[in-house]
Amino acid sequence: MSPADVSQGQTLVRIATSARRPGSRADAEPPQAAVILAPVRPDGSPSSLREALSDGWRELALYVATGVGYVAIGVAAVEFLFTWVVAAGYLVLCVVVLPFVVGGIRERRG
Amino acid sequence: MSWAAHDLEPYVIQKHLGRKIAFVPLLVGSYAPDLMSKWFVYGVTLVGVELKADEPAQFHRGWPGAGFTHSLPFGVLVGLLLYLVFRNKVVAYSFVIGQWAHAITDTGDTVGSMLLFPFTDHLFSVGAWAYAGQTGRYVDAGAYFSGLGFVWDGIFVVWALFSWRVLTRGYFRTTVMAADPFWRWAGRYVSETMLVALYRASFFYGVARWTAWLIWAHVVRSFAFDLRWGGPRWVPRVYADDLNAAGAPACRCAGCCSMTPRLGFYGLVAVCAFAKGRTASVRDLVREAPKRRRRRGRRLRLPLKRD
Repeated sequence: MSPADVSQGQTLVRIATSARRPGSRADAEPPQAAVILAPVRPDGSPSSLREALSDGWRELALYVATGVGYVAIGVAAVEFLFTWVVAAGYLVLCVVVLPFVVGGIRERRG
Repeated sequence: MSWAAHDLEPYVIQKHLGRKIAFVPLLVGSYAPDLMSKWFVYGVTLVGVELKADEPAQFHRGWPGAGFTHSLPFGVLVGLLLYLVFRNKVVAYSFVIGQWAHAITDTGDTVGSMLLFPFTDHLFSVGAWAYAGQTGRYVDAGAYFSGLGFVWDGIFVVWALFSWRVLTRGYFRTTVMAADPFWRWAGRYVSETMLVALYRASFFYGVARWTAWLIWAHVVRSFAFDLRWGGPRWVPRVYADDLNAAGAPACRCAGCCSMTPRLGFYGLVAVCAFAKGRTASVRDLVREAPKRRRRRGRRLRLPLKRD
């Protein structure tokens, strides 16, 4: 994505920087700027659905999986569907707390 | 009543108003009318004692009862109180918009809501789907997801999905946080990932709950679909006309169902004071009234002198 491709009213923001594993072939080469730029609208949202998915498909997959779990539990025990507080707690547990805990365990092992 | 629309309407409104609206007051406003009353409609059992309204529909939407929470002036009143506390007009009118969205949406069922209380306790109803809150939560859910109610919620599910931009992290950071002081305050204590999850929670709740109840009603249970106007007809329904008639047996029009003239008069004075844009007493309002007339008179005479 180059600045020339960006339509009027949009700006380019850095969404990711390429990560290199230590010891890889790329490590021996001289460092280069490896920043991925994506166009965003003035309200901060991505310019298209494709851009949004390329940036956050992992997050979307996590939310969809959490939603499927919520629906499954809710169908089995409808009391689970009654209150917003339970849903919000479940969501925070699945998309914030669990990934944080799993990431911490992986770091310790790695 | 609506089962998912109240969760999803704020995101649709957010999409259209952007930085002109604060999301948290909007969401609280959208939930406010049912916040304190819904549990008593369905009933709860505490230490072997069942707490439930004798006439759930009357309590939920009527007067006497908690039906005043579904009126448009109630939203304005709470909005004014919020303005007095926070001194932020965006917070105040965001609440009003959310509460009005709820009250107007609830006119879709057969009971409707008292939109103009306290000027009148007439229940305004479109009657598209059955109100069956008196039957309990499970039958009510089965009935709602078998009639036009779930179609109405489905429209908001699709509309909210088309508003996907408001759910992105960049939008939250640039637009939602900029307009709403709550997120800036909360951002001091918790991570952005947590804030974004909480911001998306109502969307998640609305879409997932709509899906789950639909599956429960027609796969786990076998409630029959009935998409006729005012349906499903297999459930005992309550109608706005029944409650309106109980309040005013002689005539069912909005005027005859009105509250006592004194209460209506007080409400009218309050609206006049608000329209005038003054926080001073009503006495000041009355004092200034003759001056205005004089000015108008002068303006009218001027063209006559020139001729």
